[in-house]
Amino acid sequence: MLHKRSMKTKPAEVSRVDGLLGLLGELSQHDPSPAVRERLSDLCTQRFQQKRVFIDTQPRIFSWLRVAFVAALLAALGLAAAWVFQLRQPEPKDMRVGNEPVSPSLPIISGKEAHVAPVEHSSVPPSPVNRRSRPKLSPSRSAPEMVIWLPYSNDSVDTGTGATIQVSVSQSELLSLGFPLNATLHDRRVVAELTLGGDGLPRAISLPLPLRLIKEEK
Amino acid sequence: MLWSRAGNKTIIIKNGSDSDAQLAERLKQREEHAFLQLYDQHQRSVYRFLMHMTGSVSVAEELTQEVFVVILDAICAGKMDQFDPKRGTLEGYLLGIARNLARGERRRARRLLSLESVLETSEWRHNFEALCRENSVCDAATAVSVRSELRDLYRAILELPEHYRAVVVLCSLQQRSYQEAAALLQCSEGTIASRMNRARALLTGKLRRSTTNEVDASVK
Repeated sequence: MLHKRSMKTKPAEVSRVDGLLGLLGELSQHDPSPAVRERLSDLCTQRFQQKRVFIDTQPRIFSWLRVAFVAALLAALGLAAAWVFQLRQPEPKDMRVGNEPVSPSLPIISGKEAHVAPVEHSSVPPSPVNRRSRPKLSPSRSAPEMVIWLPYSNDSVDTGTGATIQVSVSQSELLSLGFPLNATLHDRRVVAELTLGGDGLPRAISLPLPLRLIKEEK
Repeated sequence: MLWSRAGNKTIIIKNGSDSDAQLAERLKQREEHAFLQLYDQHQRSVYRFLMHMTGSVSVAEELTQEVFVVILDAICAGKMDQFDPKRGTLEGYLLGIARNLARGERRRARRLLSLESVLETSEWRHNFEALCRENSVCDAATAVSVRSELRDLYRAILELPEHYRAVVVLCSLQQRSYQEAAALLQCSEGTIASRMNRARALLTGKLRRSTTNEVDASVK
């Protein structure tokens, strides 16, 4: 309603309004107080100086942070390298029983627990094992096995040949030597390896895993 | 016509997009001189725009300072990138801030706008008397009548919706072309023209009603 009525305005009225508007514009040529400029100038100086102080101190803080970050990075790399080296270091090959688990049913036998019993065919009385003269197994052998060193009377004999022969041993003999055997192995003989010394006498008996079983001949 | 526009209509054509870009770049570098240069270049337009939008000299002065404090904050916060010289001028950017501040001020304070604060300033009175002398208006009655009409008109302008008032302030009171106003208000020239026509019609209607009321009051 208002729109329709106002749109019906006479051109004279409109031109009158235009004239008054122009006059009003001419009369209101005010300027802001100079105090505003001074206040803004002071504020600007203050803000920019604060910002400059912050900007000046920022590179120092960043340089210290950078140094600390590099140091932390180097330390982390060193630790990681040491850890990797430790992981890669080969485990000492000990030929005693119990260094590696062979089967869940077989308990691990440590060197102290391994009780060495005298062998029937050995004519030599048992004596303590000279650990220094123990022959090393050939490095090519990688299959797991259980080894028990047999007592030997003469430590001075060289045993470094590493010659082995396969024998079949009854499970009762193996039990007497201290091998942990399962009850399922009754009426069977077990294939074992005898490590011979330079004098031809057996120095150690080992059971390659998995066990090979032979039916006992009656 | 007796009360024709005195003064020449000066349209400042700003091909200053390059200079605006340079000034904005200097502002980003936190140059104090650049900030003061910005103030010196645009203080008048911002202040007059705010004066007519709020109808108060003191509020306009306060808000003019606030506009430049906003710019200062933006510089210090590194947010001056919000201004893109390709999309508009620095003046338009400032007037946008001024418009928001004026709107907020009016919404927040809901204060009664004092007509006298603008039309009764010594500066305004001095200008009015000078204009009377220029146009050889010796008749006091005519001067009083015109002054009364100007008051009614100014009241009507302040009662206009904000988008109409902004156009009237820019195109009529600050004598900007439609093109400039469109650039400053970020709209098309056609929109400016239609808003101006509508505002003019509204003002005419309001003036007619106030004249009728005055006549009725004098008859009674």
